[in-house]
Amino acid sequence: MLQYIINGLQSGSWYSLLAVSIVIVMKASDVPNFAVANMGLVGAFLAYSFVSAHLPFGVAVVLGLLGAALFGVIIDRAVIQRLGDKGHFPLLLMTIGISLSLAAALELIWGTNSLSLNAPWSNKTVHLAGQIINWDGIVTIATGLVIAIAITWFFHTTAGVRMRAVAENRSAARLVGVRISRVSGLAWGIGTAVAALAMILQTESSVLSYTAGDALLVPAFVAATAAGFTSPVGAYVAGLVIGVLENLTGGYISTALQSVVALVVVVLILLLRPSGFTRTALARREV
Amino acid sequence: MAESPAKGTGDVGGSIAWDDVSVAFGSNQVLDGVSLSFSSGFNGLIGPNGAGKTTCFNVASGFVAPSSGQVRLNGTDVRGLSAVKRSRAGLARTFQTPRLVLEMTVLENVLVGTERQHRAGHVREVLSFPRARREARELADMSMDLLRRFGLEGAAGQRAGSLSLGSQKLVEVARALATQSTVLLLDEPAAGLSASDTSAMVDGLHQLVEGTSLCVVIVEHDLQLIMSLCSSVAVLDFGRIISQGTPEMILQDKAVVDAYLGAGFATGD
Repeated sequence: MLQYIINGLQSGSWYSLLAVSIVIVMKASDVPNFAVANMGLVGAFLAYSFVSAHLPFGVAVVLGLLGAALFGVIIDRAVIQRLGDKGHFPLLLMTIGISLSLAAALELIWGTNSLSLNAPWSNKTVHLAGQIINWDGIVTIATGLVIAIAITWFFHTTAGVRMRAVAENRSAARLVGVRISRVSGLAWGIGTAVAALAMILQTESSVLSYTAGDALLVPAFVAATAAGFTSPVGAYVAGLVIGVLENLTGGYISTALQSVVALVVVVLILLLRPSGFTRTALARREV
Repeated sequence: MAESPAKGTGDVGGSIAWDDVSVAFGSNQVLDGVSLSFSSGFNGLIGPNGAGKTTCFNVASGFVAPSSGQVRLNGTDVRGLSAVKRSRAGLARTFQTPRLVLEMTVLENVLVGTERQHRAGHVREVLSFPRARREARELADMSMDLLRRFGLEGAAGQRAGSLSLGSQKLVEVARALATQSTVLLLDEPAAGLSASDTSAMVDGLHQLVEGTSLCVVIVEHDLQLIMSLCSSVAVLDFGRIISQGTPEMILQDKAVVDAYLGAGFATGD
């Protein structure tokens, strides 16, 4: 049981980080970013390349995250902001287009073979309550928690307050001189860096390939949906819940049903609380 | 203690002018060659419903493009500027229905208005550099002081959407002042306010505007408020300026009495 829960918290942390990234971008650009996983993979592949160039793992990860953040800002400036006044649908289609293009580009640059992004703690274990726990899991869970707290703190800084203002009432923010383009760039930068962290943690514990993000996209979107696309904390908690439910289902019922869990959860959310379960989402529905 | 709203803009007095501005929506001529100017201090823009007062504000703030004419903000033609750029050039406004971010707290709403004072940069802010932290503290203190002037310090942590309409209007005025603009356009700030909220607003405005170079233009149907607060008043009727001058001159202008005030107001009946 404990093993399933810890494994669930580990995979749930990947979902959570991607869901938090989706929420951050949604707050500033009002678009569900379907390219989140593949944009995150850019950071993971960059980190892999830096490790391959014999840089220390920590330095490689930081450079990968910075590269991902820069890539996010470029995508925002080059594509998203140009379509900003065209409405939701073109933007949504554009993120799908970016995702497909990135998958092709990643395959072209780094090939189709599965690569190993080994961390110093890879394959190391620790005994906890009679269970053997991988350090991968502990690092992933701890990192997810730290990022969730950091993002929550960020949304109460002046930059975060501006981002929330843009998300909730774009015209009001514009009215007092908030530069939407800067807020949007900041959101895409931070969001892509968080997505890259998710993909680095995921690929470090399994393998790195251009398809690594595919399995994470649906659970991450379900977690963001549960949070009404508004609450980073809600998205984080929902990601963990989905991860644990998946692993308990796989452990006690059938691994074949594991991938269905997220879909069942999203159906339930859409039926019971289409606007999400978090306080922010509920308050927004009341307005 | 908050800086005076216009302190950051130097000693140059705020001013706004509409030069021969016309606006038509289809066949409906809303503004017809309006020429009007206001400078530092409290100014009033009055007239019957549908006279074009809010349209004047919409043209000035970039929400409506005039079919002809220009608007000058502190002497500069702002025709080519977007609403954001006009705001950053020193123009702030409020609306008849407050446009607050209802999910955020009252303090956070005012804090959003401090955008122009933001100097540290996003990267320093995200990485929480000492300069960014100091600046954030100063802006929060300034926002809190503004709320205190309007008697809203106790509501600082409340969700803006939970406040009464009157309090929301006060928050919107505080947010407009937080921008440290040189020109402030207030669209019916007292409409729907209780007597105590109106009093809080007038007191707060007095404290924050007097002795500064801020130009405040108020559209309002509460004529007692306009006549007691403003040193200059203009009257719009059917999209045209029919009178402009001191409150005393306006009260005695027969065209204004006929079009808007009615004989009873002038005689105090």
